[in-house]
Amino acid sequence: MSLEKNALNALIWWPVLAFVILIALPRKRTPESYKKWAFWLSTPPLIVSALLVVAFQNAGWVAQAGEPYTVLQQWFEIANLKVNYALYVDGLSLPLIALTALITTLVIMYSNIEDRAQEYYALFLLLEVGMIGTFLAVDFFLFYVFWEISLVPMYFIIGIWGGSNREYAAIKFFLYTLVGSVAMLLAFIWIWMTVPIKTLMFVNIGDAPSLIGQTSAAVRAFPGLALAAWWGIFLAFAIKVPTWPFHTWLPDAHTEAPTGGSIILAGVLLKMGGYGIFRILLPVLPEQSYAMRMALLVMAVVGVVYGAFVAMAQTDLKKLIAYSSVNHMGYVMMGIAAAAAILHPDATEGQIRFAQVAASGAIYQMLAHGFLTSGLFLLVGVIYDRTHTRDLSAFGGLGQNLPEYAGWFRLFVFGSLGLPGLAGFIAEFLVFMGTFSSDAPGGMEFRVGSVIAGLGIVVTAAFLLWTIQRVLLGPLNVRWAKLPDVALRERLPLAILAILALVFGIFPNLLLATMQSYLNALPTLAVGASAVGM
Amino acid sequence: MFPQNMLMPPGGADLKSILPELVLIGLGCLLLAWEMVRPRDRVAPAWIAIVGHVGALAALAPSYQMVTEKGFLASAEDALVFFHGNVVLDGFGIAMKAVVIVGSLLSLLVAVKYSERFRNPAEFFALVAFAASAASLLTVSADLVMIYLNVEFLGLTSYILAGYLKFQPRSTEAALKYFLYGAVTAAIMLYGMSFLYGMTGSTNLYAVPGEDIRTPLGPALLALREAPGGAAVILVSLALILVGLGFKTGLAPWHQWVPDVYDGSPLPVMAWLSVASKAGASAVIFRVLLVGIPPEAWVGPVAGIAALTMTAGNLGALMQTNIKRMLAYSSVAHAGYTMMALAAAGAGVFQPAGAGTSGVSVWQLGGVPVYLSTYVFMNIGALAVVTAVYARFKSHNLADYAGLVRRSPGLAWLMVFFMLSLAGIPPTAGFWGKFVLFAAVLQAGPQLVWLAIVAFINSVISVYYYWQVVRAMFLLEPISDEVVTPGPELRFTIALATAGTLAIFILAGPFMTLFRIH
Repeated sequence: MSLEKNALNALIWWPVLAFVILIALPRKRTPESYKKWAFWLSTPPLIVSALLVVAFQNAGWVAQAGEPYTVLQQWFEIANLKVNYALYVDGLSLPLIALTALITTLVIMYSNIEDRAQEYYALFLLLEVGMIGTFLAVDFFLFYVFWEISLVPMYFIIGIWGGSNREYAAIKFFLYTLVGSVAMLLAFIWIWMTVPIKTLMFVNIGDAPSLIGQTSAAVRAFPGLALAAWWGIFLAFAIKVPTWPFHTWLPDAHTEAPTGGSIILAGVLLKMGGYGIFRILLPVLPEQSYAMRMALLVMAVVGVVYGAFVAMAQTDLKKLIAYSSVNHMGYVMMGIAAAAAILHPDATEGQIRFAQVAASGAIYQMLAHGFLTSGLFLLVGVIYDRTHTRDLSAFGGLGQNLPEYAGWFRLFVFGSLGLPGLAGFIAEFLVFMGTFSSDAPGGMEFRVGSVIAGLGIVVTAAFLLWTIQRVLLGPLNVRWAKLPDVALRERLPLAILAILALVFGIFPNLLLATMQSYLNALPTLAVGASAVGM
Repeated sequence: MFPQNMLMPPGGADLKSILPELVLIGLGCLLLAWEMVRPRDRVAPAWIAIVGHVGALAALAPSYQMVTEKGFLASAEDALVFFHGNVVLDGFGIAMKAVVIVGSLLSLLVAVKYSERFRNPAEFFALVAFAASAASLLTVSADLVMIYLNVEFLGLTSYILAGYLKFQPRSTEAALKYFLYGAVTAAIMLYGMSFLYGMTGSTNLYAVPGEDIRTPLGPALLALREAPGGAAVILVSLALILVGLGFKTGLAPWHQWVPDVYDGSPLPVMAWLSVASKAGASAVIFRVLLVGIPPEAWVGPVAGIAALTMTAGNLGALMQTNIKRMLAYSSVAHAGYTMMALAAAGAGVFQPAGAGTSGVSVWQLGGVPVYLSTYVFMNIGALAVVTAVYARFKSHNLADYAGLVRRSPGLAWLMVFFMLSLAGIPPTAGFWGKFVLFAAVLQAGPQLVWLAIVAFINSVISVYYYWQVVRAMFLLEPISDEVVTPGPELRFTIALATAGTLAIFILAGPFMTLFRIH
């Protein structure tokens, strides 16, 4: 097996090994030493993914660049089922994989857990297995295994090290996600039985058969069930994203999770949902996605506006950031709705172009939100560690004696509200450009939708600025007169996240280039549907 | 020299066909003799019983060689029958036999140390061997009379086993309850069988070559259905027979005994009942309905029973704070899941090939044995952990598991693994088990989609209570710092169950090929 293939295998199996090493370490060491071990054990995936990024950059991010890195091995074949151990990486998944590896390392760098430290760090490494595996696997069963593996460690992270209401939040997170994933399993079993195909791959690798272009004709005989299958798969991803109205687990999970857990949740776990829609739902069921474009749009727009308003009403800083995630992921869903709206043979050139713009904004947003909201959660953690409160009314005037903290806080909040020059701006701009244009993919409804969502931007700006006011400005609460400013273990992750947000805010082409080959392939999904004469 | 088939005509008494049962009965007799000579011995009889079970498993080899040519579930007209139509050999029967014997074997491993609580350990092991022979023979019984006799033999031995802690009132109560229920339902079943015999003149499920007098039940009932009132008679006798078989399998609405009896029984007996006895009973339900009774009559009722059983089991388990009762209710739920495969297979039988389906599929026929063999490993694994904790705390309260991970991390993590498997979450055997059942039921076409949705809701409910165990072990503060250290036999059992649960997940392909899913 070549070096390239080993790179993908290493991305999955190294964290497994790291997890095993960490739990095998003798107990009763200091928390610091477990942290050190975990930190160094988490770096190889980061290095490997960085090397992959460099290789892809040199190859120009074309889809073929992924070919040498493909792993396709039969797991087993019985009756009419063939399951592959298939790993694949392209411009859509690689940035997310790199983000996962980076955020994992940053979280370990930031954490200073005292209680049950060995388990804590080990669980983050196990979580990394699930997350990277989800982004790498392109056979449904393998994907499903990793998707579920990521559940268990997160349950423990919230449930063991979380806040006062942690048990409720943890089981809610677990059950919600599980509802979605079992629905997805049922939907895929139905698709497998209805489509005359033995493998459930959702990427074309070599000449191995995949579901792309295969499903539309076969499921057309059962329109009701096909739509039910679409909703089954969508449910899994919509809960993860989370999109309104499937978001109710998120405020609890985010708020109760320890800071490290919140960062991973916001930074990576939510992206698994958006990634799943782009990678699986749209390609596998293009016709049904097209039919549901308005439902997608409505959920997206409500998410944007509702998320913003609810965030505004919060008095808990962490909950406020959590609801701002609902708002931000709404933009991702808007881009997805626009992409779904062109999965139709009659889509015009212009519509396709603008849908690609909107979809690129959605993918951009996944990464931008990964940098910015992770940073915000980290900042919440910083202040909570010092004050043991997250009550917005308890703060005020922190800018006076925590100048560095105030600087970081402003930077990330402005990034979050879409200040030009930071990555969030590019993402939101692209989404609105794609949906509001005169040639908008979904027609007039999408333009109206984007106008309403524009309202969300205003509210977002309002509540974020208000947050700055309530935390940093005004008279200093004397209780916080002697707080220490940002420490090194906090500064480093913040700096890295800020640099990334800046770089991708100023040089959008760096990231836009990565998703180009995926976006080019997007309209061809509808061609598969038309071939049978729609 | 005579050719083989003249010495041993088809349908004749080929002892090779029941070799595992003969081994088990021999084992039981040996253990009884041992008990007479050395009544207080515990370790030696335990290991004799275990080795005997391994021997019984090996004794399956000749039957396996005999059937490799035939279909997985023999059809009424073309079957390999012995003893004048009392025993049939097919892939399904052998697979279920293997499940029974492996389940019994693993239960014995749980019992090695536990049996120090018994007055007559050797007698206990002898009873397990006899019960195993009955459950094993049940999987290949091909005649209603034979089935009835086996159900009764299995019942009688199980009643004694349930009450084996004879100085514990709960154990005695369990035995009595089990006995009363069992006696009544068996009588009702016999009544139903008499209807069938009266109307068709036959009790045999399979045609016996060379003995043309009796038409097998299936074709006879097909003819009866056309006669006026025939369909009603079939329905009545079906309902009566289902009472008996449903009771044995623990299906709703005849499942109320399960939590009480499992809870009152000694732990190894609970393990035995939940895997070996259930496998035997599931096998016979599957065979009688699929081979003997026209599916139009029972697909709807069985689907309803499946839905009812899984829902009753899961809702019951939700409320439990006693882990033994919780696992008993969960066992009811799992019986409900397996019945999905039966309903699906029945729907497949009269489904015209073509419209999205292709008659009975390998997934539908293999569903029950695949699922139950995954269940054997994960359930025994969980029960072995329960046994280890019980040995330390002498109670089955969920509260005893608080903070277990701080005291015995290995045990706690393995318990998580078994709970994941019971909930059907990968990377465990339970995932493929659930997959096969979902595949079977969706393959039956749109008419059973509702059952898949009920199962979907139930899967989610079940996660909640399995996760209560995980929550206790990981999230709650330990109430004591006592370390749970399972003895060597329990450690071996847990290791075996873990290996099985993981190996079935990874080697799902070769594993399912064993059940003719290939």
